[in-house]
Amino acid sequence: MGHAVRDDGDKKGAKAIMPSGSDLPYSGTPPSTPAALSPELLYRRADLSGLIFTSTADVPPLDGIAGQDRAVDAVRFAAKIAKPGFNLFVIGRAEADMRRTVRSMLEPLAATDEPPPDQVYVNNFADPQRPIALALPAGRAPQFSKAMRALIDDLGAALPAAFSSEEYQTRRGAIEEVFQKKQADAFTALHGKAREKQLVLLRTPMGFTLAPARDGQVVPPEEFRNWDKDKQQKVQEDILPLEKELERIMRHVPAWEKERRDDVRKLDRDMATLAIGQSIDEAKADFADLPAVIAQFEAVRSDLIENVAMFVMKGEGGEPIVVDSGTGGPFDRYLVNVLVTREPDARGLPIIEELHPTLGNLVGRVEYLSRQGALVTNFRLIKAGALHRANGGYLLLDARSLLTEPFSWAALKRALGQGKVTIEDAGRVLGLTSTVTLEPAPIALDLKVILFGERMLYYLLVSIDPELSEHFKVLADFEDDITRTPDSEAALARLVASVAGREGLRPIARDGVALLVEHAARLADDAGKLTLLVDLIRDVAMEADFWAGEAGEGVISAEHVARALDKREWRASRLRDRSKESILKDIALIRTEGKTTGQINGLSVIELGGFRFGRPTRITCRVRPGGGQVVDIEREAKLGGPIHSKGVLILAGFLAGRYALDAPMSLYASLVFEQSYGGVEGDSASSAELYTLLSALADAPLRQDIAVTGSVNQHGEVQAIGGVNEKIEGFFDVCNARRLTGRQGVAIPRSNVQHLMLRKDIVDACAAGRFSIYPVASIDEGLQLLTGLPAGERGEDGRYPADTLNGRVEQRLHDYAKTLQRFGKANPAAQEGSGTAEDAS
Amino acid sequence: MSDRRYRRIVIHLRGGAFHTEAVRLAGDLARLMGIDLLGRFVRDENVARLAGLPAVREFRLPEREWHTIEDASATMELAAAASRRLFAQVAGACSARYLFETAPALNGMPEAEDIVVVPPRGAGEPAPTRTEAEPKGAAGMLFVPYRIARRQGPVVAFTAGSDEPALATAAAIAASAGERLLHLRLPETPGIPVAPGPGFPTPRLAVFGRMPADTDLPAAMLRRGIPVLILREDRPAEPAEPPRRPENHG
Repeated sequence: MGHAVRDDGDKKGAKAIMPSGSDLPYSGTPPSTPAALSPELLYRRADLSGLIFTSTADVPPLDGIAGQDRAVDAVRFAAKIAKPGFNLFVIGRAEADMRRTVRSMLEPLAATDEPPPDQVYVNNFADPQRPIALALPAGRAPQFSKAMRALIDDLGAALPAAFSSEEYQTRRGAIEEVFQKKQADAFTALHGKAREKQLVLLRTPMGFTLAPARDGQVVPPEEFRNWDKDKQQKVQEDILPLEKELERIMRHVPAWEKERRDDVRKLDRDMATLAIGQSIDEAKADFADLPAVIAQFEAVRSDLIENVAMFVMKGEGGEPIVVDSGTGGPFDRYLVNVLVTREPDARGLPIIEELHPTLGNLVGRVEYLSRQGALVTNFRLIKAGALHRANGGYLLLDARSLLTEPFSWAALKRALGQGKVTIEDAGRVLGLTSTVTLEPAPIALDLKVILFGERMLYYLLVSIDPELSEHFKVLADFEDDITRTPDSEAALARLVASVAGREGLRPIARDGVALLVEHAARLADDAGKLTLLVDLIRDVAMEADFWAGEAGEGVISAEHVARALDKREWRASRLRDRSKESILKDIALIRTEGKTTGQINGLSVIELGGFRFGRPTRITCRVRPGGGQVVDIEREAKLGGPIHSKGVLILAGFLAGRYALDAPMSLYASLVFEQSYGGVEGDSASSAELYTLLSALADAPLRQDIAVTGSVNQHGEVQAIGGVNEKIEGFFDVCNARRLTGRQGVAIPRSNVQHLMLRKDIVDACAAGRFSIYPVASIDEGLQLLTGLPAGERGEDGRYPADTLNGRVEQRLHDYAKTLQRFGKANPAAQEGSGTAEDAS
Repeated sequence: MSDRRYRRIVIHLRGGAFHTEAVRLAGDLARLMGIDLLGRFVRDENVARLAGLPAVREFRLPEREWHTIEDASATMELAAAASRRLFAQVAGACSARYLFETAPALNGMPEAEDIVVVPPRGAGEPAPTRTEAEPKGAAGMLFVPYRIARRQGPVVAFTAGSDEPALATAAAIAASAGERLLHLRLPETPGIPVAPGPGFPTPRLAVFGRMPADTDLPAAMLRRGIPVLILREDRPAEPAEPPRRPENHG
């Protein structure tokens, strides 16, 4: 099939058939001048013929997920495989509603499984800094906690009563009496011996002393000094052995005191064992099937017996002990910290989403209480993290949030690698704090982690972190769009119905649904595709619902959808309108009529804040003899990006490969985007640049009423570009504002025709012959369209015909070569200095 | 409460043996009865004489070494100061009105409105003198056990009848402390043993109207760690008067 030959100046009645793929340039047939596309090719209407409905109220919601077979398969696989490392990384655009989709898949899978065990922390009496983690069957942790609390409450009354009982007091009194009697007997005997020797044993402020006495009173010193020496000597001799005796007694006192303490301790232990035993046995009866819990009860028993004084001292008033319901009290040591529990009759695995994955929120943390200026903690202040809550089930995390929180990513990898979650403190990780704190026993980890993130983030992470592949072996890549077929359109209609139902919107009429389907194609930038970024469709539907409400309508029609689309565009289009205004006011020079040599209207697209718009930009070229350079002024001014520079180099390559092959390239050309000061990137204007270059060389003016977009390769094939709809609309808006002449239009790559989903006003203008869209496959086709001259083909003599564009270009290049040759002969020194070695022949 | 039969509780303090629990108990009782607590530091003249005696030396605790006695008077003054300080600390914590004085000896009889504290015998202390054990003329005696079982709890009164002043005093003490009063009637016939049965709550204080014939009963109380207050019930009760303005002297 070929194109219909287009009348150069009259497009009315000229209809183009979609060119076939076999009409490639240089296929042996001369290039043809492209004809304008028919209006049917500018916008593809929705085909909902397979779905009978009046509004979404009649449409069954979508059962399942549309168009995400690859991702769905990955999610199912990751959810079911029970091997370490097969966690899931879900990538795609944020608007693809990935989280809700994945969650909706996990919920039925998780619902039927047995819930994971409860987790508690209890005191480690042997090493209180290392609390013990216990796992209990789901739902039984609160029962354990309650039983322990009831036990302590019970003992709070029972123990003080036991220790104030007559039996205990009597036995305790007996122990004291024995001790006191030992001391008293020893000192009484010593007193007696002293008396026999006319001595007295006295208690002084700092100890004891033995002194001569009469009638129980110390002999006054003056009297003693009057005694004869023998008598005085005898006193000294009598005192010495008694001093020894006193020393012996005092040496025994500590041992007697220890005996007393031991006896009291044994008595207390026996009393406590009796008082505690029954209560403990009753409390632990309900947990006979849990050896770890029984072991903890026994540890509590031992500690209670050892520390019964705590109860006795507190309750010595006879009043029951009140267990501090807060934390930090002395009876905390016996209580239970329920870290994670499930409802007793709950079914299914947990699906937890942590929206703020700080280190503490992820792996748990130890909290502290301020008490009298110091920070104190115990095992009851351990708080669960998301890993604990999700243990046994699924944990959903946003990758970006995770990576931007210090230490979280590393902690997650450690937990997954070790198969256990250890509570870590950021200060200790950094080595900032080294105070004594808790080191809770790690808890075994068995869960699936599902990360959500953008594609770029995932690929960056894969390249720089080898551990990612170790822990996240399954990738679920959510499609951005789906091939547009009647089936997929019907599926999208059902998806719209699901969204309307879920968001509580008014029913959407059939024409409104159709418009949303068409908008989905526009969002996909492809008439043959439908976007799967559901959030974008949802937002339009919600806004349309608003406008329907404003209009007092009970159903959302196409009119409301269109209004929503218009309003969304209007809200975001301030910059676009200011840009158009600058063109209309000739501040930015853009011609939309006539012809000019070496100048063309290129098209660029600007995207800011999620809104894209196109605008025309004048591209110009100047040529003269030179050393073969094609100067990209954007690149020279460092305003051109690498892709743009590549495009310019490609067209230089095209030039060098096609023309004046028998002569050195003696051209100097400069290309520029006029009045562009903000930087240029991309190669979608490279065909426009080539047109201006060839126009300048051939001295053939180009039409200014046709804007051009498309990249070009070194063979002169025009290649597809992005944003074709916005680019066309950008030029149309300028032309329309100046009043359409009927000759204006846009030349686009032929391979972009499949992407066209133009605005209604443009389609209508094209249908009325007031605007045209031209599909171009090769530079020659474009040249013919823009200049009205034949492009020309090499004849058997290897030359282009002189009256063709290519012939004129080649002739110009030959002329430049000769000019340089003449210049070289006339100025050999200058030639050598320039370093250009021209071929003299 | 403030019963004009009782003006103060007197506790004798000696150097070297400060009975903290006895002072605390006395202070609590003084507060509950609305009367003063007097701490009397007794200067032992025997100790004052020691310095001039050769071959007499002091076995000092806690280092357990022998030292010569150089200035017993100064030592006694230091002991008095230490006693004053400790007494003020303990008595002050009890919120009682307290006074402190030093005296050369246990001179004379206690005053008629005094309740004298009989502390437990400390290590090395000689048996109490008769005056110390049964101070005649005192309004009562507060016997302190070696170990006090409870600081809170009911007050138990042992009297022969319901009209005895000691019962009223015990009731007033119980009311002041916000505790229950338990009344056990002593048999009129001596020789019949009286003992609280098993399950009888350990009281914080046992009050007797007179020394019972069965002296085993207060001894049993003491062995159980229960302080015993023995009041002379033959003294008439006088109308209560408002408590005096507190004067704390340390």
